[in-house]
Amino acid sequence: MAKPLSKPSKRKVKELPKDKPFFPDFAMFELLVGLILVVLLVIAALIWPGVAGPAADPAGEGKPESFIFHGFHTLPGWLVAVGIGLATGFVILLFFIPRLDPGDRRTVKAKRVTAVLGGLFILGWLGLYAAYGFFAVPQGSNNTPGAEWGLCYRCHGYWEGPRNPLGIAARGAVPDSNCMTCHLDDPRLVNYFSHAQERVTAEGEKIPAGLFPGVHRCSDCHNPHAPKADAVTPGPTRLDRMRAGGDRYVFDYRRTPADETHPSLPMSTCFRCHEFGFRRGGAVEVYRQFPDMRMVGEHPPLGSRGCLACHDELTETGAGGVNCLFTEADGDVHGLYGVQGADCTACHTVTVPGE
Amino acid sequence: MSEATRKKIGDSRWLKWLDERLRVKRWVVEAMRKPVHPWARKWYYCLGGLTLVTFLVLVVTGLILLQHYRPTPSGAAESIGYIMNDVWLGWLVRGIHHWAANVMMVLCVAHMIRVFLTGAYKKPRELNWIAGVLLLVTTVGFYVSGFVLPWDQRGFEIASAIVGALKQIPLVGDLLAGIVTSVTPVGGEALGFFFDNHVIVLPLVIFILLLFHFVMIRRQGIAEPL
Repeated sequence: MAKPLSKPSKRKVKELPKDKPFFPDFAMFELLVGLILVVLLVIAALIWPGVAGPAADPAGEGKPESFIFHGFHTLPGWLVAVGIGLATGFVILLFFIPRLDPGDRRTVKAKRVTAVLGGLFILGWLGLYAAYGFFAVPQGSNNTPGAEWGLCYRCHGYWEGPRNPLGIAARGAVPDSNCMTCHLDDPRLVNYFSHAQERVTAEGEKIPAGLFPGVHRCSDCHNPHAPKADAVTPGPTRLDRMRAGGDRYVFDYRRTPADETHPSLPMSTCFRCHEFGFRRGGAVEVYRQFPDMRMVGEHPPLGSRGCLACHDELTETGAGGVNCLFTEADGDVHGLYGVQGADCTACHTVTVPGE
Repeated sequence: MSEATRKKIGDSRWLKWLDERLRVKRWVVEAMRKPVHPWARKWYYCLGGLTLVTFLVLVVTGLILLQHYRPTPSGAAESIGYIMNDVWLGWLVRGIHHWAANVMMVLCVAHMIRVFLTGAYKKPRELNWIAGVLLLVTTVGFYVSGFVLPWDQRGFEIASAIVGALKQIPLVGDLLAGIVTSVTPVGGEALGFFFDNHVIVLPLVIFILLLFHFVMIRRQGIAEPL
């Protein structure tokens, strides 16, 4: 090494970094960063453990349904084709980058490729975001609050259980508390018991008094997926959908006029509006009509049978409640429970007039 | 750690024992001494390694989830609820899987951008770049198919969107859509397609690609930035 001509400076000369073996420094650094990453993943999972929405095909019939469709469904076909073409072109372009930018140095051509690719990348993401945001349209509706993808949970929650991130115990129907998070500014809805008095709709239909927390829910009558006007007064379209069984996710079984047939609904939903006669409400009327058929205790076990297996469809509405009339098959009721010939007093008390 | 320590590890009894049976000592010592250039000792050169870490996390958590998941149209969503509510720490495992999948996508893209900006795809590393692009496509495949598996509203929508998009491709669109599901609109068959790909096809593909990727990195070293 040649001797320097000038006197060496007292300043410390910064040494050029040298190659270092992979182990231990670099390996340990990677390990440390990897461990930090894993810890961060665990923390993220603790705070927000991940979600999933209501089942698309709960019956397993191979016919899944969705109440909100997003993105491609609402775009014109040619636009989707162009988008797919661009996306495919982008991926193909990635493969050819080494060929487009040969040599050892970064050329002007390579810089242009960088700019074009960067632009495509950003435009692609923006396009995807636009497709899923701006073109999100709930099926058969245009008024669902928070219709954007991922916001369904604001009303519906996900499943009942301790690990529900929002603590919402609702899978299908929406609890009133969720409605009130948005509707508190509406003076008509501030007080739940604003429905405590009988009301008459614009169509002259009577809405009976007496809504009970825990029994009746806002979504029993109001459809949050429907346009605003229909959300209060259901239109024929919604009734048609109910009859067709298409309104599976919103229980909208507002009491229908006497000449309407009842929509097909899960048995559990009957109990939400129709209390058993022997429990309360309509009990007095039932007892009056059938004084010697008073039942003791609870309703016999239903098994997989629905209400309509024994009881007639809704035939009458009014302030006095709904009569759950037996169908023509009432003669088989005892057969259904296998008690024919058994002691009647096991289930029924006998009222002796005058006692 | 000094050269002496590395030598100590190289001369250790357990490595000798292993070397007598598998002849691995040369690989281990070589791997430890592999030089890391000064330009590569920066945080953004760790992005590839971190992507691998998230992948390993996904493999472990995915295997645990697989024990409880039911890939049937009626049972999928229910089994997810079971994992979240009834399986011991199932919610945590699924949460980690969920986050690791998202983080892996971000890291994968970030790693690719780093490789692109530093010109690490240039000769003689073209094949490794192509393997990287294939790995990105495979990762996207994992990501999308994973969202479909709960077979909830979102999963069904994604499956419908994919089939709808495939149908728009001229000439072969219907054929490609038919591979995913033979029923229109999307039926339960689509769930089987995405499940097969998520747990069988894509893992095989990614294993082969990763092996190639790492062998090439080992042989060619880390490229000097332009």
